[in-house]
Amino acid sequence: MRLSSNRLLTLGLPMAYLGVFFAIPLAIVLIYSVLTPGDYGGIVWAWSWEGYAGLLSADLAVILLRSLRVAGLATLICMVIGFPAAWFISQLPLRAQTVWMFLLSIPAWMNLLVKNYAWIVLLRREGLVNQVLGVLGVETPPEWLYHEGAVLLGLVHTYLPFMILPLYSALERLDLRLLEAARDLGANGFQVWLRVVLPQCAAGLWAGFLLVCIPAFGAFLTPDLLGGANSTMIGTLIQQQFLMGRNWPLGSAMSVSVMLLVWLALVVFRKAAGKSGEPSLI
Amino acid sequence: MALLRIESVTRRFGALLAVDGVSESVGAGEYFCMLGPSGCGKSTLLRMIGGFELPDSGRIWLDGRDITYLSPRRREVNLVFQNYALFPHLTVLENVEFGLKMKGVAAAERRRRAGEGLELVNMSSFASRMPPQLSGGQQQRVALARAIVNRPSLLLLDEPLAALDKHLREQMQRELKRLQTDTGIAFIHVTHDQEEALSLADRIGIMQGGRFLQVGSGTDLYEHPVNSFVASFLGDSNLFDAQVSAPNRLSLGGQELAFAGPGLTPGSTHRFLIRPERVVLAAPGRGLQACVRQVRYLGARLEYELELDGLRWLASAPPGPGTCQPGDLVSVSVAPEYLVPVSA
Repeated sequence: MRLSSNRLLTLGLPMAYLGVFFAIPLAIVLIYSVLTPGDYGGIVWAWSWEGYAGLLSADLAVILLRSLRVAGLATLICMVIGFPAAWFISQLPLRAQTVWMFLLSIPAWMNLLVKNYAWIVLLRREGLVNQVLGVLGVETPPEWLYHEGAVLLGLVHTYLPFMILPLYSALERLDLRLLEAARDLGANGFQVWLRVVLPQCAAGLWAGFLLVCIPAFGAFLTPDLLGGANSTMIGTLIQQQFLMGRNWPLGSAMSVSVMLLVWLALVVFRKAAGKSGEPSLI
Repeated sequence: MALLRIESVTRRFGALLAVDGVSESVGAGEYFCMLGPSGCGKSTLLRMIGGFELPDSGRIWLDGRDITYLSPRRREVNLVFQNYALFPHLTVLENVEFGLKMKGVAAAERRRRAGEGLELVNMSSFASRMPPQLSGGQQQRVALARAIVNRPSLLLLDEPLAALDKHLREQMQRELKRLQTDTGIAFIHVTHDQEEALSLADRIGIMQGGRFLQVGSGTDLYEHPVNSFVASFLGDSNLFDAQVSAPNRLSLGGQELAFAGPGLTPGSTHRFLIRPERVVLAAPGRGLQACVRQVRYLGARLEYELELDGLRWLASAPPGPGTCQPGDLVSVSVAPEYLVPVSA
């Protein structure tokens, strides 16, 4: 097939971009994972399975489980908060919907680092929250920072808009007569939600899940800044292999295995979810 | 006793008075049509009976029970929505089962009754299809089955055939009538299509401006409309103002025509209705004279446009020998019982 210059441009540019910034780095990680670590970081060009062997000795399992738990909880909290929020916005007059969606997207423009430091400023021992509590007479406020709870707070704050957006677009398209039809046929409020609203926005919920759970699973900045030594997540562990442990092949092997794991989990999840014919992100 | 009784029901939307103090009753097993132009309040009235709108004042009684403020799910009434509102994520069978499931009917019983419902509308072979795969007429049948399996005492239909093409609409009209007769459920059917109302309803209520102008059988409404709106809304009509010369005579075109019914005050001007098929044409001679302006061939009948004393009349007659041509002069006669006084 001959490509017209127009199609070459529209297809070629994104392809080139993805090639340079996605495919090639991915290939580099894949190759590094089967090389020998250099003494001061970097790699030595000699084949070795040491990286993958190292996976067994590292506390990988514990950290993986923790990452799963934190990412899962963050996603769940985002769904619980995001669903009513998306419903609320979708039922507003069109003009108000636009305003709310705009307000919702503002935090997404802000640098992640800034957002996390803002939490530290607010929540550290002499922070604003504790000062206010002190004035109110609370002598020994709880420790807000440096545990899993703080990581969850940061992750939910960061990723909530990514849950609300797809849910909103699903709910906004929802045919309200279906809700009336369900009530007419004897469904109560909860049944209407469970049997009509929820299935109608399954695709939105799935998109929200992907957009929140995967980045939260791989997050390293938020656990690093807001979590303590005991709340290291997989992203942090990988980062440490490159910047501190100086073991690039081990870090690469971790990255490759986590990628495979996430992909496998999504495929299984998708299969289990079954018949839905909605277009899918994977 | 009436199955449904509506008592001075009023509903406003801001400044708009959608339903204006309507009172009406519908009997068990009756086919009642609410007919009117869009915006006349018929859909709002229907939605209040279904429980999707609450009246500002007035009461609605079903089977002797006040249901005015009852939630839709607690009413023994089901609504067939204008665009069917089938659940797109459920199969046809699951759609039909939905109401029974909500009522806690056991699975086996549910399946059996849903199967019967689908059979009733000839959709058994589509049980496992998804609604988006069905045509409009098929979706309509499923929507009917979904409502009927709940065995309501009253079924509400909101413009159920409006989205179908003419041929399918006529077929579905026959099916609706059959379904209503077979199940014995009372139907309240909202439509703006006069032919649909005439062919289906036991009684028709003509609505305008949030009120019923006239309620009665199709024949009543067609032959004896109360005013010119009803007359012109149902079928073709010739409406004209004429002077009453004697209690049962009017003068038109220098001639005197007799009309039946209660006499009117001589000397007053009144509005009269004559249906086109009641206008009899003959070779020019004595009596009222008219000139043929246009002839339209409509297959089963011919429609003449006449000019008569400055008025434009329609007349219709079966085609055959003796067909008039444009420009012909004819004499016109009308039997007294078909010359009906109506209020403006």
